[in-house]
Amino acid sequence: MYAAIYSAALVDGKRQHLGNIRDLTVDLTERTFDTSGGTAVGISPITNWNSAVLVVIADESGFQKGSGFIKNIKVEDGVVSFSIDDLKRVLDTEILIDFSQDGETGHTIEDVFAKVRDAILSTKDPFASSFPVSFSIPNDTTDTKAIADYTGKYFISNGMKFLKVYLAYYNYFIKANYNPITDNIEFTFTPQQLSPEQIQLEDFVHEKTSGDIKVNKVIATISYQTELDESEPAWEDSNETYWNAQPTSMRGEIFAESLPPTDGYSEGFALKKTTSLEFQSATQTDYDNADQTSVAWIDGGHTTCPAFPPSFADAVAALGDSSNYQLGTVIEVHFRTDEYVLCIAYKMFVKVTAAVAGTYHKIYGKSYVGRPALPEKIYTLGTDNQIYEEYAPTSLRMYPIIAKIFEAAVLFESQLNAVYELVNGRYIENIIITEDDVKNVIEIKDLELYTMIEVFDVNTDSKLIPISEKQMIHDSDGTRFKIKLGFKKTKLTEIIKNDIGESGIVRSVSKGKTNVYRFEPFESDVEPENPLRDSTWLRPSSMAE
Amino acid sequence: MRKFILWNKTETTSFEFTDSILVVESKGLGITFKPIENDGKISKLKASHPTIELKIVFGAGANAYEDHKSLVDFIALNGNKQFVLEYQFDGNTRFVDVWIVNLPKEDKDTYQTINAKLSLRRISHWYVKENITVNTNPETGQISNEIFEDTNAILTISGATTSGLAISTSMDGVVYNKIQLVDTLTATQTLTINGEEKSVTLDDDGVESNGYNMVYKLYNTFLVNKTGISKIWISGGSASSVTITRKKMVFS
Repeated sequence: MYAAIYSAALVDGKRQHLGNIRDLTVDLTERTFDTSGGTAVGISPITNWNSAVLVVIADESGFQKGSGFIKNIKVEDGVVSFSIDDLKRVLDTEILIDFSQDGETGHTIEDVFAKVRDAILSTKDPFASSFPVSFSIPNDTTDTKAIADYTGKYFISNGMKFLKVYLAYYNYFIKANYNPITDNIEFTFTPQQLSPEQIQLEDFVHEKTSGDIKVNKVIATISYQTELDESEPAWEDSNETYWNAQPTSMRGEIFAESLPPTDGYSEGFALKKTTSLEFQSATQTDYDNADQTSVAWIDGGHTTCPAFPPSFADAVAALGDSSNYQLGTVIEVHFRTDEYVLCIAYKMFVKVTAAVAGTYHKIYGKSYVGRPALPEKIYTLGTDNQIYEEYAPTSLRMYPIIAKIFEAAVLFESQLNAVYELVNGRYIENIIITEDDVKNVIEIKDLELYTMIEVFDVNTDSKLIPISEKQMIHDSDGTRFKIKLGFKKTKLTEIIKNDIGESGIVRSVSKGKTNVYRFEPFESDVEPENPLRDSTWLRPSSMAE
Repeated sequence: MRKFILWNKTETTSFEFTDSILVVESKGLGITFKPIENDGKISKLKASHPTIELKIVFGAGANAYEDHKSLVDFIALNGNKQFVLEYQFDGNTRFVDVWIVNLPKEDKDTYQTINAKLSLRRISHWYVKENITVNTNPETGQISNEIFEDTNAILTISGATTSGLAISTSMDGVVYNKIQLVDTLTATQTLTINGEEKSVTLDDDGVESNGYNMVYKLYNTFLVNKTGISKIWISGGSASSVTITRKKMVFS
């Protein structure tokens, strides 16, 4: 085998051929949905690799066996090693898919594939004009609205991930190759072969059931923001514990039949409301701190000032009805002699308070608008590895039911992500077959990707599984082929990459503007009240502790 | 009487083991077969080449050191490249591509000669050189391949050619290799399609350039011959001449 290397440049209108790498050892794997790739080593007289872009792997006579982008070129003593990257990388890019234009809202398979094609071809990137890209799309008018209806919408998505949903759901895969005759990178949307190939395996027993249980039911719905309504604060019932726990600035008590308006009260303010007042013993400190104070005296019975203050009972008797005073008033009560001399040396303090028995309230300004009933779509995965809109037939239902819910601002986005989840959960198998494993006469090297294989083991049990990978290894011992059936991830890096964060293939087009706040640094002697708002406050060094 | 001649890579200069530099013993001239196994099962045989060892006596009737140096100088002039070993025996001539891996130098023995074992790593089968002229049907040429593997050849097309020049190769009536040019060649142009080096060179009146894009990629690019007897002919267009230069691989 050898590798033909092509440049990014054109010479006399033809793709520049830099040279060939002969005596090639190559390991190349094609994959149905994931990116293909490989590595190779050979001998080459090429000295300038700067513009090398494309590689075509060919047999000794020049018949193409594979093609791709050449990467990671290392040259030492005329021996060249390099990696081969999938041509489908051209599709592994974000594109804007637009179903909002008049006359371009069709949802057949052909229409959906064409949307991706048009998005790729319309890119203004110079690569698109340097390397002609062509698509071969079959005439398939199957309606795809079972997955999602994008009429009137546009969105941004990764081309390969978006296509994977439709390819897997409707049984297609993409063949990619470089055609040196037309100088085109060609993408051919190829339907899965309908009649399965039968393979009898020699000395091979495959697993009867799938080992992994993955998500088998998905629900797609619309996300909803339960809104806060802060425009109408109100009093709500509270209790003494809450009232006692508030600082004095955040609590109060009133003597009234009804609650006051909420104006001026902060969120969480506690209020004790009583409909009756009473006197309580108080202190000099209470008198000093009170907003409202008064002085009263007790007449009669003393020619000279006694050497003791009035008792609480005497003071209360002298003050009369507590409802004649304002709530919170602290009164200083003295004796007064018969000569009307106020005995200021000794006094009793009495405070007007609300009766112990009262009702407690607090300000509560938030209220939420509850989530209404919103549209949702359900999809399930059957034991036949087919994806069903709503529920699979009872005989094909998977148990236990493991569901995952997807929500997004628009239903089609959550639908796409939901179906993508199920697509990745199909055919969780891993059977690797070489020509020597096969008992019957079949050339596995001639089998195409995604071909459905009916595998018979030594017990004549069978299972229907598609080809997910096809590996070609060529070295000094010749050329060998292996095929992998099923999409079970076996390498840790594959599991991590594909099982975490794989959903979310649609990135919605932004509907609102992004607000940017700028806080200029400022210096002040006074620490700001709002630490978040004024986070750029600089404390002067003179204030440093 | 057998004879060994060592040629440089381009086969423009040679070193003959004769006169005072004699090959007195040789090993590794045969062939071995290596079974190819897969999971413990042998699927086919692959021919393997043992290392050739030539026991050489330098200085038979001459200065041994000078004789030894003459071989060393010849090897150095070739640079870091392979050699071609020519082996003549019983009226037959065979060639093999080799790399020199060992040429020790010892002191003179009592006969004032130096004995050394030259080790040559074989990288090809033994072969005979063959030139075949390719003509238009029905005067088809014939190529035989006696070994178990497909073999490569060098196809040389001399201009002027007409449009659609094609060379086809068949076995048992089935065409298995077809080479067709995209454009025509002028009278001063020669296209060399080298299946061994995997290169296509256009020579235009002495000026060489890459001619890889001149071969139509819908068909084959290089001439490859299957095991057995194949027929080869010009199946489309015409040329001033079409010749095949090849190493006809043999087992013995």
